[in-house]
Amino acid sequence: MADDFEIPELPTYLEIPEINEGIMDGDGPFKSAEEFQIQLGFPGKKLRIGRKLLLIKWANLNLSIVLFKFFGCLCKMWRLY
Amino acid sequence: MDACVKCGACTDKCHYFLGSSDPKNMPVARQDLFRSVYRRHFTFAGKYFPKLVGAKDLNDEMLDDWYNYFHQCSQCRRCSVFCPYGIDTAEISMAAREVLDTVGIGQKYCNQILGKAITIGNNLGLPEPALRDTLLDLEEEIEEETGVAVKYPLDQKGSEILLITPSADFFAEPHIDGLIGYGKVFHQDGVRWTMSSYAAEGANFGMFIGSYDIMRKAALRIRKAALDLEVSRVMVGECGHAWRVAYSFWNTLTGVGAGASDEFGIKLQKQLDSRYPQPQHIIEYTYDLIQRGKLEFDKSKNDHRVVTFHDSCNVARATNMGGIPNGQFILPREVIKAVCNNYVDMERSTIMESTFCCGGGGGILTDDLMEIRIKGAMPRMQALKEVEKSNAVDTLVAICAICKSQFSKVLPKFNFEPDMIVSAHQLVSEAIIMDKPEISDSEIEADTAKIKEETKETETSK
Repeated sequence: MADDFEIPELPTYLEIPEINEGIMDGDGPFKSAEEFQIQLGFPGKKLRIGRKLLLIKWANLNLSIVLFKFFGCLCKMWRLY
Repeated sequence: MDACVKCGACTDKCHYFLGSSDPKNMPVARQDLFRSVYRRHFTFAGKYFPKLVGAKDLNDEMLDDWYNYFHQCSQCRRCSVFCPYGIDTAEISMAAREVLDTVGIGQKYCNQILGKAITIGNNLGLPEPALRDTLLDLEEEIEEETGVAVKYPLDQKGSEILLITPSADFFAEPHIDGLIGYGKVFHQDGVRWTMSSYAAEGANFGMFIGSYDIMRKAALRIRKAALDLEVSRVMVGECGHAWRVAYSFWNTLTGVGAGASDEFGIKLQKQLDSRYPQPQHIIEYTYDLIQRGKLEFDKSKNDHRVVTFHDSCNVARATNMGGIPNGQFILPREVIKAVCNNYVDMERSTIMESTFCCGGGGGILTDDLMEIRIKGAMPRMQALKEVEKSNAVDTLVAICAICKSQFSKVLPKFNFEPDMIVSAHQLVSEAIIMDKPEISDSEIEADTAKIKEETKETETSK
């Protein structure tokens, strides 16, 4: 493991640091291998978020159509049109 | 999520922001990573006017940000203490990690460990024979050193106490010195206790990844062990988040505590002795024995130390001890003061409910996150440096396995000795006065007769 990173100086207690935008951006841990995710019941591979969200939106849209049709039926029953 | 008014009270409370200066490590900004997606998909304004309300799509770029910054949060809840609305960033971090796992982006360290915990029974993957050997070695070592046969029983059915402790206690320094201390305390009390090879783990990383189901899977091993071993008390060793899971979640997860409704949970509740807290922390147990005068100490054994105490975040901000207000701060300090003469607290704004995290909690105690771990440890190191200068403090006590491991690694980076971090029960172990077994006259006579007989036999054979 590389340890050629900067170790912060100990400041006078407690110093609020200057903003340093994005300095920790790339510091993520290793991702889990498929086998370890699967044994916990997770998918193992990254899902395609775009497609998944599209499906959710489509499902929501379907629900709206059903509700709209239901509303139409109610109106018909009550002879509103 | 929508209660936040961006007042900024949390911004300078996070050790990772103070150490790294990255604005996305301000708790409010970390929450915003989650809040912006929530707004996009669950609010009217976010759905139709996303730019106006700062709503953002959950896309790959956003997921990358989530992965990085929600793994730069140790779920310590310090920001929540200062938030006027009590927004709990730890819960948000847990929820985000659960989403990440659900879409197939799990973290290696947590997932690997959880796999071992729910299949083998401990985070290290130690099988029963290895565990038994380790405990036998420990017994021999203690008997050699003290002349007292302290036992470390494993899977002893019908014991009174089942001890659930982090598996780090079984082998690593300084953890194992704490385990030695627990054993000595049990020995002096004369209680029948045991550990379980099936549930040899107090830590529960299911909490770190925000998964109730996985947390329950790990916790149910403890329930099974308690039922199988027919114990009447369940006790937790020195581990911060283990105590949080036990104190706050075990009741619904396993039935230890109030609130179980399933068959086995109710069975366990009937089995456990209601005269004792269920679960009970080892510090509560030792404190109680001290109060009742059942333990004797030679405090001078710790006179070479000047001691301070690091409140572990999960214990400090998510649990209690002793059933008294602030017991989680009082009891560990009272135990330490009972066994050593030189104790000093660190700066008030860095201890008790305002304690700083060690920098390695919440499932980030992995070498691939060493940079953020070191940066996150900075505020605690600063407070420690102050008492080192003012009071010559040379010993840092913690009651959390993660804190101990983290400090062992980061202390040298800030020019402290790595072995200055110790368990509270290590100090107990060093000061406790053990009763040596009394040998009766008849036993001495029997031994003398045996030796004479052996000598006679040897002479005859010659």
